[in-house]
Amino acid sequence: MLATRIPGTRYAIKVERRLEIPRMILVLTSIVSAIAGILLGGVIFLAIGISPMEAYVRIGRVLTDLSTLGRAIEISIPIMFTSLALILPFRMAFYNIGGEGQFEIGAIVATIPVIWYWAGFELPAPLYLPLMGILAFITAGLWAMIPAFLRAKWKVNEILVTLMMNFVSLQIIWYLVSPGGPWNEANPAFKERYLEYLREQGVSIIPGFKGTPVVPEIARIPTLPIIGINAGLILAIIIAIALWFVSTKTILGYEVRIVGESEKAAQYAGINYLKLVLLVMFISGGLAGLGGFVNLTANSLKLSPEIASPGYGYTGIISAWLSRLNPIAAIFVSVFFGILTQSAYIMQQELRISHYVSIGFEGLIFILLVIGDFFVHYRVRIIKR
Amino acid sequence: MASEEEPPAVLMKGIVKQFPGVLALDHTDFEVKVGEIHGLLGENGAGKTTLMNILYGVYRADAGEIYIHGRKVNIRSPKDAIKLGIGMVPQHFKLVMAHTVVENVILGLKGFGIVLKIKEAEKKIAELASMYGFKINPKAKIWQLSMGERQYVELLKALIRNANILILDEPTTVLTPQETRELFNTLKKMREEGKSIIFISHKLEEVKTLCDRVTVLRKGRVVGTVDPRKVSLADLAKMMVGREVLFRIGKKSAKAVSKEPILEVKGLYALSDKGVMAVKNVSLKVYPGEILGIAGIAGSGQEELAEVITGMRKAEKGKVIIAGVDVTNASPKKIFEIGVAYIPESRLYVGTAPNLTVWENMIMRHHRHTPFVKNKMVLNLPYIYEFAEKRAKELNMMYSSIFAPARTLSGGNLQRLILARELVETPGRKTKLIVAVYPTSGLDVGATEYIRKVLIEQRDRGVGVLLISEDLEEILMLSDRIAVIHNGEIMGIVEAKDANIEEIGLMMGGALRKTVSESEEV
Repeated sequence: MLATRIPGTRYAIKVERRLEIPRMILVLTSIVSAIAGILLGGVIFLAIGISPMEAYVRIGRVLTDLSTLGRAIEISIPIMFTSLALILPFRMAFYNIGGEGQFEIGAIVATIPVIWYWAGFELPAPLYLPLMGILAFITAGLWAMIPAFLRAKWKVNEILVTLMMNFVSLQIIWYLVSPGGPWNEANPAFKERYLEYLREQGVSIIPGFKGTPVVPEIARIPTLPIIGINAGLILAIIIAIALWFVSTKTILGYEVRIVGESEKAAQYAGINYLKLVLLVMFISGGLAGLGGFVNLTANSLKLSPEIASPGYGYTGIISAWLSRLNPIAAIFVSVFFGILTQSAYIMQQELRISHYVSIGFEGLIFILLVIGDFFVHYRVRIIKR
Repeated sequence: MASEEEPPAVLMKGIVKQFPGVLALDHTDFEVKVGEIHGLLGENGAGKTTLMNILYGVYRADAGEIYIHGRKVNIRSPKDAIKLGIGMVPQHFKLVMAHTVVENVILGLKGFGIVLKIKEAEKKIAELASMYGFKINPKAKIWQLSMGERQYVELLKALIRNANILILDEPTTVLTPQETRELFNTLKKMREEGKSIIFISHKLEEVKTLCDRVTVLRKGRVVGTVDPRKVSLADLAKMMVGREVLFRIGKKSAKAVSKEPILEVKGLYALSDKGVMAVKNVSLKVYPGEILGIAGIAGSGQEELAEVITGMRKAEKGKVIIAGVDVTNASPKKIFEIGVAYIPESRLYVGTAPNLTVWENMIMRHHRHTPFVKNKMVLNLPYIYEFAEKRAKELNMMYSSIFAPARTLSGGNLQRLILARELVETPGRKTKLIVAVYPTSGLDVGATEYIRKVLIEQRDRGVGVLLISEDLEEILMLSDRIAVIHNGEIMGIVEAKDANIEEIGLMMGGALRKTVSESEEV
């Protein structure tokens, strides 16, 4: 209802609230925010004295070189899990910022069979991956039910609780893997077996860094033939399709939408908020935890504070938002972030700048997306006065 | 230069206001003479409030001119309006609850010093009150006052700012008949003092008894300005709606279908959202095939009572029995499944989820039951789409598509949707009781007639109806028995055919308590 005269002309800018939001606008603002984020990111490079073109050339190279593109997709797989995890809770307006911690909890419990292995307790080989995956899903799911319960029972703000719990899970990792910690690779319990393994790899001592022993080959996610990407990709795609089905076709998805709209309407509709939020957060935490498991068994190959999750939980928030909570879109948006991260690694090697610039990009895109939301809800027109 | 006729207090010419998708005002002309009470009559959405918001500077007109006392003015904000001597008593009061009357009145006012000259202000308030013949304690906190008294505080706010053009937006909605009469006396005194009063209403009787002239708006256009004493109520109604209006709904007398009540409330207590006891020792019964109306000023505990009955609010004490089942503090789901239809006070965000689609809102509450679900988990979407299309057509709903968000529907269409949805019967669930809270408030005449007709139809087929309304006319028109609630307590229950509007008014105001009639005694 605002109309502002453009000085010196007979025209005015008029802003009106949209009655219906066309789907195109949603897609368009996401794409424009992403592109504008990258272009504005050029300013960051200028600020540190590097030509933005240099940076864009590297992003272009990732897209055109199949091996780096594969690597970028590989990086995007954990992001797929952390963004898919957020789709249901965000749709019911439960702001789970704890993807990072849930991801880490998944990685921690998935490490348990690895620890047993080096301590000399071995399971039948085909059991490793399913067991680790299920453990990760259930534990991280239960972990994520804590903020859900607090919110449903006592209206405790879920943003604060989920965020704070991220620090708890990180501290658990620190405790476990620091030198002298029970899971540290230098723990004498692993010595015999682990040393033997390291010798085969051409290493003669256990370094004793902060970190667990590596995941044995029998517990690693297989690589898909031809494309050479780990099988976590298939799992993520199956989950995305399942989430699409759940959110559009089932009672669960329907109830999630109503709660997202109004908790009062949900109560009226006979929805048990406590039950629903516990279920949704179990699924959400479980999926993030599964991401932690995939990352452990395909990428990081050991549990340590730095590589348990280099911010995948937070990137997932932006990715879920950019995909407008559409699970299929989330897969592609995650790949986009994978490409950004991979380009940042290349820039780090070739241009000697920190790969953390990719986080700067993510931040910029998120801010632009929030601004873009204005155009989703309002129409701006130029009218003649 | 001296003209015979004094220029009008307000003259609005050719006012145009466009909102997205609606032309709210279409070249509207409006004139108020000095020293008259001018009614502004129209249905909801006719543009009354928009027109007044333009006069008060809340909105700006896209086109048109405004003259105050013959001088062309440009009102850009309420501040400008106040400077010109225009005062507004809004429909929803803007008062600070924890502050006193005097503090509210002088809030934002210059001239009472940095260190507030409270004494002076109190004196001024007392003067104004006695001048216009109403009583108010300047030291009372707002929350301690009745709605009628709060209205006087809003009025005082305008008067102390020397307003000589007063706008009152539907001022009687929150008043008892007695309070309304007092307000009218005050307004008449103000007229004698030479003030010009604009009285916005959609209640024909009030306009007829109070106003010197009436301007009728319909769909943003002026239908005419008339002397209400020279036209009949039916004529006014016809001007307002654009067609003949039925004032009475054909209603057969209630048949006692059963001696067993469908709803029994016993000694019920419940808290409001603020933690104050809002329902106090309420006992009542609704029999199948009757409408029990609950009359009371809005906010007397009737909303909370309905919420407890439907499972939306916890009972602190007492019992709710529906169809012989004790459902005290049962879930809304269980109560719904017994066969209770509930039309909640808020159509948006409770009765519907406004950003979800029409079809999603049409199956709400039924969404777990056959035939809307297959395999217990999956929605039967093809069936649901077909059902929604069919329903929308049956209801004569104005809608663009069943995939459009519910908020694009008008209030009337939304209420049709809610009522129809609540009355959907699925295998194992038959409607036994309807709890309707303010079912026609804010609706146009067409939708109001439809809702009332459906309530009576349901009663005639043996459903019990608990009707909560702030519109006493509606209560009298539809109910078989009337319970009057005041401050959370039932003041008495009377047969509608012996109902005396004076008596009900006194009971609503808490001045009269009648012992519970025999029909309530077991």
